[in-house]
Amino acid sequence: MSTNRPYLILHHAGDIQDELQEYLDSLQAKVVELDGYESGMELTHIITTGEQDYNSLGRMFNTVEDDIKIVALGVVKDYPSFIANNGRFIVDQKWFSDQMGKVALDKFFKGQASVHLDENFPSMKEGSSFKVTNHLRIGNDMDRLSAFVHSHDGSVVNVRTYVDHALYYLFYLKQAGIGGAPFEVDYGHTGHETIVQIHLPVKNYVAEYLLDSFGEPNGQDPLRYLLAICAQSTDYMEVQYIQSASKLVLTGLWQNKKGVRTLRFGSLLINQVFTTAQIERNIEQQLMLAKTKTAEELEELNNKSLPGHLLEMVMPETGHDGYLKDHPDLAKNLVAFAIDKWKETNPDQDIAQVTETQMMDMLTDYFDAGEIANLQEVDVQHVMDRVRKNNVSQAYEQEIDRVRGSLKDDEKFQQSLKDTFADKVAEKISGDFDEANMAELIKGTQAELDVPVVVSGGAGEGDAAIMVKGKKAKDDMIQKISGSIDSEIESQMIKGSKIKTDDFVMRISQGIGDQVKGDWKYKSNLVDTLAPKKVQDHLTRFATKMGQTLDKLTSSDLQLFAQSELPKIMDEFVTVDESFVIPETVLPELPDYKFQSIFKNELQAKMQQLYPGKSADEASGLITPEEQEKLLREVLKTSVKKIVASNPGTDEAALIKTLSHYLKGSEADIKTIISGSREEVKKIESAQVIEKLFSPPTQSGNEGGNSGDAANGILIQRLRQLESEFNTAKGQLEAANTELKVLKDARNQMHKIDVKSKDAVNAMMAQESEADAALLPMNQKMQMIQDLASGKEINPEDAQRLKEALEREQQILQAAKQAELDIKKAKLEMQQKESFFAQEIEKANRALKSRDIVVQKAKDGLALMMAKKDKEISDLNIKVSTMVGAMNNSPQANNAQKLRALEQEKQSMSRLVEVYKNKLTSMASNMEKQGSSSSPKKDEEVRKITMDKQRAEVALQAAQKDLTKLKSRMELDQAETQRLRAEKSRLEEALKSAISTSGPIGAQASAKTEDQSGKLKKLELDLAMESQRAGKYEISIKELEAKVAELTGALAKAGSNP
Amino acid sequence: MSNSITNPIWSPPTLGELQNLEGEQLVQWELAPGDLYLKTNSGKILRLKRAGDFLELPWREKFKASKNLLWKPFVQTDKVSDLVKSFQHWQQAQDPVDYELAKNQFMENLRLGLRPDGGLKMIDWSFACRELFKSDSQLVEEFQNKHVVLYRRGLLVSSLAVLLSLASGYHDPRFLKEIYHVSWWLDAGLIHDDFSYWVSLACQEERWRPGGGDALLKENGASEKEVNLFLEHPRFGYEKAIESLGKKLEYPELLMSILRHHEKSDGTGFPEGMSLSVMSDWETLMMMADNMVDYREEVLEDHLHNGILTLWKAFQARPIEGLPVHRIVEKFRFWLRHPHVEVLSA
Repeated sequence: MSTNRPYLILHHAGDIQDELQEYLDSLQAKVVELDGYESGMELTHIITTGEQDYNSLGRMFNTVEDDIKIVALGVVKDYPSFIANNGRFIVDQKWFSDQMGKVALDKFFKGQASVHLDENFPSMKEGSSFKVTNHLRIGNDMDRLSAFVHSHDGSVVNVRTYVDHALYYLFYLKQAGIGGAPFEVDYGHTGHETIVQIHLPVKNYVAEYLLDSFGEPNGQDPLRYLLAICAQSTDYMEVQYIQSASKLVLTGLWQNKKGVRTLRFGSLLINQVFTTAQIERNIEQQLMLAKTKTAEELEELNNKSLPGHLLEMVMPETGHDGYLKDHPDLAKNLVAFAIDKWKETNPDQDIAQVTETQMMDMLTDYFDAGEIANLQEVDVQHVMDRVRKNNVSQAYEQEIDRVRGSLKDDEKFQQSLKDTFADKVAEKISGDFDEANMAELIKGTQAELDVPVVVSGGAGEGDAAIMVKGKKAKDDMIQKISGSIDSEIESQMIKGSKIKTDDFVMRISQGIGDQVKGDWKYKSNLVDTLAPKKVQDHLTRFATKMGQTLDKLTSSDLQLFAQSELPKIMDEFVTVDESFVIPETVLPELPDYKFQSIFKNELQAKMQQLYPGKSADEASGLITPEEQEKLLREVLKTSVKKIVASNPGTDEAALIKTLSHYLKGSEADIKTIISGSREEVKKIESAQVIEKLFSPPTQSGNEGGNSGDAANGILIQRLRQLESEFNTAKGQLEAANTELKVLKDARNQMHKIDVKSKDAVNAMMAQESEADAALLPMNQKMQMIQDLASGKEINPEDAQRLKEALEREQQILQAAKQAELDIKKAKLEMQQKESFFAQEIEKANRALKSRDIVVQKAKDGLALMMAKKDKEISDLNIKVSTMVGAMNNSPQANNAQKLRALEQEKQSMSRLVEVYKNKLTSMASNMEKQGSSSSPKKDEEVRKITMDKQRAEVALQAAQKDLTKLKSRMELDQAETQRLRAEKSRLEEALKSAISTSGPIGAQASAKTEDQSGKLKKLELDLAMESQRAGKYEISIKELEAKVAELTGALAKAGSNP
Repeated sequence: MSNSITNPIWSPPTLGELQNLEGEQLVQWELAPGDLYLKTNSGKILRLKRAGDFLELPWREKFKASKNLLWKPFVQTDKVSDLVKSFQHWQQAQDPVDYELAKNQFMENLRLGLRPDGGLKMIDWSFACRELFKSDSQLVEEFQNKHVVLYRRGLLVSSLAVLLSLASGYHDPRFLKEIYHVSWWLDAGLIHDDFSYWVSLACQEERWRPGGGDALLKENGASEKEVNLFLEHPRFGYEKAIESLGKKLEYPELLMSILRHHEKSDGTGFPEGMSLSVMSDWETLMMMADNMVDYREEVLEDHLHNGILTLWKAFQARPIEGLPVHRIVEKFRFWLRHPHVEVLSA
């Protein structure tokens, strides 16, 4: 588990020798001396000696939790604490001088492992193997292994000890349901070492299963020490867990007794075996990683669209047998195309009215003619059916509009359309151009190359945009005259009627060209009707200056006027208004001049490219006719492309006219060419729209915010924001409601107090009035006060009445003050309550929020715990079923039956004993009878017989005693069995409760079961021995009987021969 | 690979070649030791069962009373009986020396018997295995009723798996018995409504090139269900076996072989595309047996009616790259060539 971390090794104690240092260097491991250690370092290993207190080392560096492996370079006496604290490698450094030692290092640091001996130890020269399926039947194979070891100068005893103990450990694993069978035992010899390797499949093997088996030898619980014995029996022992294949590999290695020994003490490697805590920690880390990853992926997904398209919902599968059935994408494209095309060609008609002929016509315009050729009648019908459905056509129309809208904003796409249009036009024109046309074009070009190019607005003012002042009118015309396409510097205004000024400017511009050359009617018309008065005056003066009349002016005169005089005139009536911003309405440039210029430049550039340094004449002498034609076509194509590209299509008529003029083609032909090209470009655009219609939106599309999905994203975001605002508002509303309620309560209380105080005041007032009325009227009282003030005397009665009246007033004032105080108190109280309620509400809100967070966390935690518990329960279930199976198969299950059989046997034996006893008694009495008349010889024999009989009786009594013992033993066994059964039930209960509390059982429970099984086996053996003994008694009784019979026969014989 | 058939397996017999079959004799057979015929009233001879076919009890009861049953023996019952006795003798030997002697004797008898000049055919060995390990009659019947080729394969694959186990050093009769039983289940996933001849050919093709089975099905326009059955049959079989056998086995790990019998060591197999470089011999035994036995009926019958070398040569002619069985192959090759001694590591 630590393999992903860079090696950071703490050299805690002991000397690191050169071989090990070299190896660590090759791993690029960083070795930190103890002095250089700082807390927080993520150690992977600690190198130490074998004499450490591993418990304190483990606590100090948290070796288990942080999976820091301890390497001991000396003898380790306390295996359990070494292993429990993540001690994984005990090794004699001298061994690293051997190839085998380096192999071990690779295994330890790089986790290399295999289940095959020859792969684990490549230097293996010869060997053999056997399979163990029954541990009671390995003697023969063990003998063969011993012979092999012996023949290779190996330690037979050590090898046998190792294999025996290892196999028993593995059988414990099998009994616990952790290990599987068969065990494969491979052994071999490298020439210097004997190696025995055992592997088996295991399930969920953890270090705890191993730790418990490295204890001190114990008579009661062999599982506690089996691996310790294994480790102590080998020069090097390796415990390797291959998690990917769920295999456990135990390997023992012994160096030859003769030869150099590089392993001077028992070495041990425990590789890739992790404790439950380490596994859990790793799982948690993986879980965290997975969670983070999932969160990242979710975040990524948020920016992605779902597969498929809403349009597919309104487009059910093709249910016919035509071509479209197997081409659903084409079907969708055709439907979209037809709807789009229909909208374009029949904007005012519903597509539901489409006829089959119209549909066929539309489809023939589809950009992939090959696909259309494959269509069958059913396909056309299918497309018609689809487009006629209102929901389909509407959905498609909306989508097409959306996509087209987004494409209009796509500058690159629009530019590519323009380029394509120019390409197409240029291609067609250059293809249709014959040699004569070309020659003429060249000729015309040569002749016209020197024509001065005059740009409206006057020379040197190319960058100016002019506003020309005309006559004052309400609709002051504002027209920008663009002299060049460069950025404007300033704006000027031409004032005048819009139409006239427009025409004027236009015609002046055109007049400078060749269209109006010599066409006086045109000029006259221009000057007379369109030019503003000032211009007309200047022109007349110009004509006079030239010594001519206005109508005699030639086109060259006009041109001269335009060049030299017009700009001056313009200056006179032009005012500059820099603050004025003119809309971007540009008069068309003069394509004719531009075309000439472009063609000339292109031709010159090409000729220079072909014949660098040559003049045009020299070059034309060198070029062949074929090359010339090719060159001219190329130049023509480029020029046309450029001129078309500079005309964005807003004035198609002008373009057609220009091209027609220069290329000497009819306008109709040029128009056809241009329209054809536009059609083709339209097809490309439609194709792009349709393609985009069904393609998922790109990331940039989302970012740009032009696509519907981006809009949806914004909408969703807005919705979320609204939802959040709504929630806030809802909270506020609730708070306000509470506040309102509190205020209402307070108001009610206030009202009550108010009413109460008013009542009190009223009552008092009434009382006062009554009293006053009874004691002293107001005017009298005032009179008395005035009298007193002016020093007059009043009679004592009046004085008394006044005194009472004043006292009463004082009382009323007191009462009023008290009432006021009460109101103030109530107000204060209300404020306090309000503040208290607000605080309480705030507290409640905070509590709710924190509870929500806690609940959410608890939910997450519970989900994790549930998953974990489910797994644990499932594992425990498996263990329980395995254990129950094992218990059912164990001798316990058969014990009762065996006991019954033994009981029966015992009873039959008792009966037999009784029979023999009776027999002996009768035989003795017979002998006594016979003996009364016998001779001394016979007496002797009788004595012998009697003695024999007595012996037999003693033997019988002993047998009976044994039987009694046996019986009591059996009873004890039964009791023990009962106890074991109870134990079993208790164990089952414990297991069940363990499931509920999901605590680990594993090896402990297995061990306990094993313990019980062992006891049962022992009992069974005892019973068998008792039976055997009883059998022996039976035999001796039979022998006795035979002897008695023999003696009886002899006696009888003796009796008959006195 | 070798497709040549050494002997024609069956041709219509003449009356002289057939023997009368008594009803009482028929009732005792669970597997037909030869081809069974019925002579009709019109004198025609109809073949009822082939040698090795499973004879369901109702069927036996039905034909028990017939006086017109004939048969042509194929299985050498005496040799089968000798093999069975020899195996039992070995397993019952208590003394280690006797045990070794009996084991060597049995292994030698088997090895020499199955060689071309030994006279023992694979069908005889299949009968001996059936008698020794008693396969699950219900499953066997299901195989035969659903698809006879799968049944015939089961007969050969299971006995071959035992043979490979013996040659690889697995001598515990309980282990051998379970190997035999589990081997029958290798094709259990194919007992399915969607099974077709094409699926069996796909299994065949897959042996020769990874991914070939799937491709073959698609090339031949197999249905989605057929493709799914082919790709999932190891899992189907495994799940069925778990349900049916799982709790009865002493070595339930063996069942994993059903799931993995189409896996390769380089991850090109299915259903999990595992990399199986760390498999033990016992885990690859059944994979190898399954790979050795053909799905094509004529080849399969040829292998059943010959000794081991016909089968072995056919297998050797195939590429086995990617199959993690080279250790078993080496051990088996060694066993075939040499008198039985302890099999050394390759």
